Amino acid sequence: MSTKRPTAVKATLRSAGTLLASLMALLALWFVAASLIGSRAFPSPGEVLAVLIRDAVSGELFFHLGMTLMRVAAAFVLAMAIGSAIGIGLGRSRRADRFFDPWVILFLNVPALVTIVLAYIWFGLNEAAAIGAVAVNKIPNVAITLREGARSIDPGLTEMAKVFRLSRWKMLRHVVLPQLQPFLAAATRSGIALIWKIVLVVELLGRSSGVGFQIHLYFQYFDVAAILAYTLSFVAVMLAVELLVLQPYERAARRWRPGNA
Amino acid sequence: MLEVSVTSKSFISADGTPLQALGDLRFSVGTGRFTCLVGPSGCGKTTTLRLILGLDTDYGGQIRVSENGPTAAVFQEPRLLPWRTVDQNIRLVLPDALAGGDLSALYQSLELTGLENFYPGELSVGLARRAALARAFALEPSLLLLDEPFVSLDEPLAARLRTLLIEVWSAQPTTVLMVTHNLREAVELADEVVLMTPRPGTLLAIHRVDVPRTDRDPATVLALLNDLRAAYPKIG
Repeated sequence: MSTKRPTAVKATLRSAGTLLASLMALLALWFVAASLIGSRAFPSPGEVLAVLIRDAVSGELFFHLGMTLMRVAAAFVLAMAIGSAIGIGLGRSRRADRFFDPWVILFLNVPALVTIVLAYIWFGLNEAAAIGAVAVNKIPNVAITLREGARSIDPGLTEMAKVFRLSRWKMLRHVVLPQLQPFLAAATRSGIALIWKIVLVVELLGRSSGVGFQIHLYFQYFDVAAILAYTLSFVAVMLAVELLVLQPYERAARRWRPGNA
Repeated sequence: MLEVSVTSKSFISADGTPLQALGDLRFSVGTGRFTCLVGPSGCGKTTTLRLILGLDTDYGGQIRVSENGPTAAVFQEPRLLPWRTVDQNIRLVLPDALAGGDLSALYQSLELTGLENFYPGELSVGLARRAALARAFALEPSLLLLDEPFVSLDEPLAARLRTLLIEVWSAQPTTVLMVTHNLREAVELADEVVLMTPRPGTLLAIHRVDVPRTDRDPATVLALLNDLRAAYPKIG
């Protein structure tokens, strides 16, 4: 391990350098294009940055980012919990799977917009309806991923746990969850990317806070600089979640695999 | 005490035809006795172990296990958790009273010292089997079931592990049932050898080995083996 470390650091630095160069190139391209077009509908990076600073100073930016992040987190937790329970249930019972499979396919194909509109009509323009609608959109995805996971549980290890009379808790923690981990990670990754986009739609249609609400507001003024400022800052938040939470967690979970570097 | 009286056990194949795996099979293993279950490949030895372990309850007859302590098993494959180290795998199955204990003597005798913090995927098959044996021994079971635990190990190591198995068994009262297809191994280790017929497996004979274990040097084992073969020509 210790002999690998210097090369690992070098590799990290190199990939960070590449990332920085790539982003700078994109920014330069944007700058050149914006100055050539010279339209309010296509603002330069400087104009977007000015809006960002203005709303950051007033605190408005952080309030709306925070509201959206709260909705993403709540919908994510709800969708993962319910979707995992359904998926594991279907993966373990062939009869239940045969019966409920058409339901899963139906819900998988209901457009997000329809779920959101119906949730607002049936339950009112409130926070619970908003978060619930987002979760409902994501639950079928989580369920089919975890169904695959439950099917791949190694019966040999389950038998071992039974023979050695492992408690339910030990069984869950040491035998079942590690086998489901790759599937949970896959559901998490695709889930977070999908959920925040749906949350913006929910906010646009029926909330008075959040990034989606702000984008809707500035759409009415045709203020592209503000729209981009909010979009990019939330993309940055999600990128931070990916780099600071998801990737380190996955690295830790993969530690046992031979050749995991 | 372990009392097996199975009358029949069948499997349904994928196309719906039933396959009888076991016929009439009755034997018992007295508390603290070491019994080997021997028979030709495919005669239902592993199936018998699975019935005893309660992993399959769909059979005719009944099996009674009257032991006070825990049951441990060594399966044909090691069945270690790949995401836990050797040491974690072993301590996981132990009750709280034993889980914090010192296992270094056990690791030493199984030649696992220094490998405690490796993951099973980093071990050879032979090492993984030894870890599985360590897991069963560490539990200090009162009923120990082993399914061909020494197959695919080189003979010097297998011999050492047999000795170790006898040491563990002698150190504390353990009822042992070991499946093997190796008759020589059976007469070397067992108090009784339960012989099974080809599929559907039924009881062929129960053969007592009366020579004390300490007197079973290679020549004696060979003589015992020849006696057994002479008494039951069918087993070959």
